[in-house]
Formats: sequence, C-alpha cells, structure tokens
Amino acid sequence: MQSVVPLVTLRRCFALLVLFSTARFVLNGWVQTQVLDPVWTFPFDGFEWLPRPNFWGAASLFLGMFVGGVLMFRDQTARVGSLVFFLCFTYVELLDKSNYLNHYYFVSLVAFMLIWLPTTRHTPEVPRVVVFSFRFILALVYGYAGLGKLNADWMFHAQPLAMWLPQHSALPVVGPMFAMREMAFLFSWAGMAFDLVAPFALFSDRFRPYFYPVLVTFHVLTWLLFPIGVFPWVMIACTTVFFTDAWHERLWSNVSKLMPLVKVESRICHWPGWKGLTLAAFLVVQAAFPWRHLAYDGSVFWHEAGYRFGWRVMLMEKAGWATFFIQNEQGEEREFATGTFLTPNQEKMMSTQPDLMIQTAKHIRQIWEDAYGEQVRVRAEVWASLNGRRSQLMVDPFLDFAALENGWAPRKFVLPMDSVIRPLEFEAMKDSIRHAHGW
Amino acid sequence: MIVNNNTTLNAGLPFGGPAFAFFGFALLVLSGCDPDKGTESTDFDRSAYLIHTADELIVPSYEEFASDASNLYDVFVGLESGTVTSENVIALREGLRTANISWQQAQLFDFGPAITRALLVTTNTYPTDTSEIVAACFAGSWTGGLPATLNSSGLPAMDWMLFKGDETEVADWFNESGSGALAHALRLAEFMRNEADAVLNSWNTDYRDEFVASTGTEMGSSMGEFLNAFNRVFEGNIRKQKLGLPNGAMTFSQTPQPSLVEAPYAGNWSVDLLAESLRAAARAYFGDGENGSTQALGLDDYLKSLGNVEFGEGLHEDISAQLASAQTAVLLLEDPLAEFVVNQQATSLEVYAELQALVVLWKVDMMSSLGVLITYFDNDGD
Repeated sequence: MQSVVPLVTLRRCFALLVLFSTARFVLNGWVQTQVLDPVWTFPFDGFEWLPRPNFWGAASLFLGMFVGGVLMFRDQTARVGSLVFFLCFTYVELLDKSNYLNHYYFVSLVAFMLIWLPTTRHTPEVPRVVVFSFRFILALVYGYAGLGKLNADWMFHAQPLAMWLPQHSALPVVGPMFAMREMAFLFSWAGMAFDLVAPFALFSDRFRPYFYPVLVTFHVLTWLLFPIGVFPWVMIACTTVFFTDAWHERLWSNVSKLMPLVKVESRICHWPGWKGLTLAAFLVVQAAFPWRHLAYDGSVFWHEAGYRFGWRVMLMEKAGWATFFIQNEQGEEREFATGTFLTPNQEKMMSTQPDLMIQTAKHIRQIWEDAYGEQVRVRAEVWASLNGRRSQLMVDPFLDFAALENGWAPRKFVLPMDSVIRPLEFEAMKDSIRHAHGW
Repeated sequence: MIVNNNTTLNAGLPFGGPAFAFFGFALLVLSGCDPDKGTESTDFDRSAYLIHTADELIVPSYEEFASDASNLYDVFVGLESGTVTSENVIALREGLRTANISWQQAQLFDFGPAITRALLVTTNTYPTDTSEIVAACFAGSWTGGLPATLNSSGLPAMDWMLFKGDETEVADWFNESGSGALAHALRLAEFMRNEADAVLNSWNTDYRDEFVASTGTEMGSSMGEFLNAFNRVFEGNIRKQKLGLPNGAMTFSQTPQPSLVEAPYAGNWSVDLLAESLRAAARAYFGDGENGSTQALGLDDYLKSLGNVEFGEGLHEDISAQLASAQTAVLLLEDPLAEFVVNQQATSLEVYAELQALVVLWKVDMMSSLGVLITYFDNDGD
C-alpha cells in the first residue's frame, strides 16, 4: 500500500485541464466546425450506430464534459464525474475518425481509469499497483513515441522536422537557427533520446529531479512550435504522478494554507486479488495493442494499418489528394466530388488514410443509389506524399473501394511504398492497368 | 526528493526552474551552432511575402482586369442601336479578348472579396446558356449574380453575343430594333465591370491591410486562403475545365467534348487562354513573371526556405521543371482547341498529363511541405 496523494494531484490537474480543454474547444468554435457542420462523418469501426448529435445533443455532450470535469475534481464525486466525462468525451471522439488525436485517446484512457480506480482522499492508502498503473500508461506514451522515432526518415533525414522547423525561420533571434538542417537533426535526435529516456528517468528517484525540468522544456518547446493543442500541458501536469508522496503531501499542505480543503471520511481500500489481475491485464493490453502493426507488411506510416492508438505523435507529415470516380452498370464513368459532403479537414484526413477512403467510397455508392437507384462501382486515384518524398500513387486506382471492408485484414489495396508510380508514369500506363484490372 | 520544484512552488514561480532550463538550452544551442552553416535553407519572412503578394500580384491583377472590363463597357456605351458597324464589333471583340486575358491572372485569387462577390462564377462560368441569353435580351431586364443567371453571365455570354455570327451579322443583330441584344450586352459588360470594381475596391479599402496583417498559419489565415484558392482554381478551373473536360480525360469513355472549351465561339482563343492561365499560375508561384530568376518573393522562395531536399532534388526545382515542361507541352496545342481535342486527342491527353503532374506537385507535395502551415484543427501528426 502507498499514499493516494499522487493520484489526487493527478486527478485534479487532469480535471482542470479537461475543463480548460473543453472550454477551449467550445470557444474556438470547434463544436460547430468539427461536430455540427460535417454533413457526414467517419465513425470508428463498430460504432457506426452512434447517432449524430444535433445542436441540443452536442450542447448536452459538451455540458456533460463540463459537469463531469467539475465532479471529477471533487473527491466526493470523482468517479461519477469521471464516468460522465468519459462517456460524453468518448462519444464525441467516436463520431469521427478524422478528429482522432493521440492525446484525445490519452484523455479517454485516463478518464476511463479514473472511473474504476481509487484516486480520492477517501482511501488514503491504495495498493501500489494503482499508482503504478497511471505511471505505466504515461511511460508507455513516451516510450512508444520514442520507439516510433526509430526509423530512417526521423533519424537520418530529420523528417518531418526538417520541413516543420524552418517555418519558424522569421522569428526574432532564434529564427535563422530553425532554417538550418543541423537544427532539425538536433531536434530529431534530442526528441528521440528524450522520449526513450523518459520512462526510465521518470521512474528513477535519482534522475527524476533533473529530468523533470527537461520534460517541461521539451513540452513547452513543442507547444511553441507546433499546433499541438493542450497535449503538452496535459503531459507536464500528469507526469507529476511520478513524484514522491512527500512532494505531493507538501503540495497539498501548501494549497490548504491558501484555501482549506474539505474534510472527507477515510476508509480502508479493499482491493481483492481479481481487481489487481484485471488491472494488470488492462495494462498488458495497453502495452501490446500498439504493436499490432507488426502483423502487417510494409510501412505503418504509409498504409496506417495499426497506426492509431499507438502513441505515434508528431512522427510524420503526410499529404494527399484523392479523386473518386463512379462507374455505372453501362460502364459510364464520372468524377464524384467529395467536397460536397466532406469538410476541408475531413478531406485532408481522408486523402491520406486508407480506411477513410473505403468509408468515403461506400458513402458515395449510397448517395448515388439514393438519388438514382443505380448501383455504381467507386474507384479512387490517390496521390500522397510522406515526409517530403515526391508524391506517388497510393492505392490501387482500378478497384471498387465500395466493395472493400475495413477490418483487421492487411490493406492489400494500398500500393507498397517502394513501388513508386509518379503522375506522368501513371497517365502513360493508365489504359493498360485499366484493362489488366478489367475495369 | 524533488527539492527544486518544491522551492519554486513555494516561491510562487511554478515554472521558474524549467524556464531557466529552457533559456539554458536555447543558449547552448545558440553557442553550439554557427549560423553561416547549412546554407541550403534560408529564412523566409511571411509578412514580407504577403505584402509582396498583395501589392505586386493581387491588387495589380484586379486593377488590370477591372480596367479592361471598364474599357469594354466604355466601348459598348459609345454604341447606339441602329448605327453599330462591323468595325465596332471588331473593337468589342478586341476589348473582350483583352479582358479575357487579364482575367486569367485575377481568377487565381478566388478568396476574400472575390468569394464574397462570387467573382469567379459570375465572370467565367461556361459553357454559357445561349437560350437564357436570348430570353434575357427580349426580357429587357437582367439581374446578374443570381444563381439562375450564372450560366448566362460574364465573359462566356459576351463571347457568344460577339461571335454568334461574323462581325456583320453581329452588327446587324445589335442594330435590329426589338432584339434587345445591344442593351443586354451592355448590361452584361456593366455588371462584370461593377463586380471587378467592387472586388478591387474591397482590396484597396481594407482587405489588403487585413490580408498582410494575417501572418498566422491557421485555417483562414492569408497563406491558407491564398494557397487553397490557388490550388482549387488551378485544379478545377484550369486543368479540368480548360482541357480535361473538353478532351475527355475526365470521363471513362474519353469522348472529347469540344463544346466545353473556353470561349468556343471566338474559336481561336482557347489555347491562348490556357497558356495565359499557366503563365498566370507561374507568376503567382514565383512572385513575378520571371520564372524564379529574380529575387521577387514567391512560393518557390518559401519552399527553398523549408529545405525539402532530403529525398532527391529540392521540391522547388521539381516544380520549376514541371512548370516549364507543362508550358512547353501547351505549345503543342493548336486553336481551335474544339477541333484539336477531336482530331489530335492523344496529344491533348499528353498535355493534360503534364498539367495533372503539376497539380499533384502543387496540391500534394507543396502543401505537404507547408504542412503545419495549413491547420484546420489541433494536430499531433496523424
């Protein structure tokens, strides 16, 4: 058993940050642009049945996040608050893959753990595994972000940082440095070393005092340089859970001098063996799930099978252009513009993420069937560029995407990244490929 | 244990220690790097770029188009039904051609005031609906800018009116009392002039300052607006409309559709207009008409500053090469394009492929290099 106090700090910081993040989301007008405006969304596989919220639905969900955040902060209502927040937040995230961010997943995950685990002053002593579980999840985020950087683009080409950093070259004083290649390599290797060292340094009582200022520096830099939202602040706050019980005790005794804390009844935390086993199993799944990409051939950055929920943060720059064509039973073909039912952000995400292309194709088939009662095949010509490479043909251009299914199967329809087909080459061989595919 | 953090917390300076470490790190980096090294990248001043783009490209292009539209209107105003000669018609045709050419530059800046006034669709929606034009002539009144009149507005409508027959026939039509033709042509020219003036006016009164002040990188920032409009117009209004639709590249059967060329009634303008739009796109990309040989701030300079050189040649070099190659390819086309796409479709498909390759470089590679720049939303790199 150990003191619950690191988790009290974690939960309260987390609650304040989700309140801030929710307020920021609302004030930036993103409820409108990300939740209400889209004509159609990309629900996560298996969650297609979730109804799209209308204005009042969205208002309730975001109000739920606020109320949940406030209740989560209070020891007396922490669990119910976490539950309400988790349900509302995760509901919104599940509606649209194009909004997926690793740090949203992190928020869902932590909120989920806060529902089940004892993190209040009601239980002054909790099993060590409970505190460990939060530390472990945080260590996973850094460790996997670090392992993700162990690739040639990141290490030997300093990509994508070599493209991202020079955008700050007009800053006073430091600007010119960002234009230098050396800077991109320095940031790439320093970032990689940071991520890989973080799990060990955070767990080490000896190195943590020196490492934490580095961690804060790292996150503040990423916050200054990239449009990464509240993620840096979430990590800066949450990693205090690694600090000693004594540090947290001092923190709260300082806080209580400023504003007295409400007294709560304390009780013994009962923690039967099955709970420990369930928690251990949960952590094993969390550690194992990001490795699923190993089951697929080719670059996970390219086909993105097994990409999400793997803590691959700020690892690649990918852009694409997807044009969809429909063909009816008479063999007549025409382009089908996606701009009519996708927002610019959805279009941008869809143009590089193969599973969203399949969803788009199915939707196009449905639109056409509803409008004309005619069955069509839907193919896509997709050009994509990864980490500053020249763009190349990304998926099989003569394949009925509406007939494909998203699932765990390898994405055979994604062309291998090393079979580079450029626009002029494609135009030259288009007809022969078309015939070979019987299109 | 974490003594330093605790003390800073007591002192009321929560991030005192880390902030110190940040400056220490920055100093370390400063002292460790010689700024003269790494010359493949240069710094790029977005603010200076926006000022150059507004003052040297966008506003002058609207000034030119507005002036050409106004000149065309003036020629119409000077005419009186009953006394129109074939020389008058030739002068009108020349005025229309000049406006059509200067439009090719102005069309690329389809954001801000141009979007507000729907300048692109009222000025150059084609094919034009000739029966709507005839009806409007007889009706004796016409309101531009309505969804219902887009198909019979702007340059394409005047193309038909001035080229529906030879110059004598057109003069006769204008002179024919009761045809309403001259009066309607005047309405069309006046509307186009007014819209061009309104957009130019917007830029000159406040939008220019707004444009150069928005140096940020989020959606709705000037860079974002400009790049999205540039790519959209080049892809949709140039590559697809001027060549892809007429030569059948967009359809499965690849049947040429000669009636879809730009300015079909003038007959001999289509290729010139396409070539001019390509030159205009090059100007918008390089910052002036010198194809990157000058210091004028352009997107090429931006790309150079970003140093996308890891995989092969620099992206700016690939784009310059593809742009040159597309401009050479367009020379293979001959007017009348409506006949060329039928008789020499294979050649026109090759030219289309060159334009397509350019779209990919601009829309995918360039935008990817400017990646963080155009953000719609928080992004952690997925």
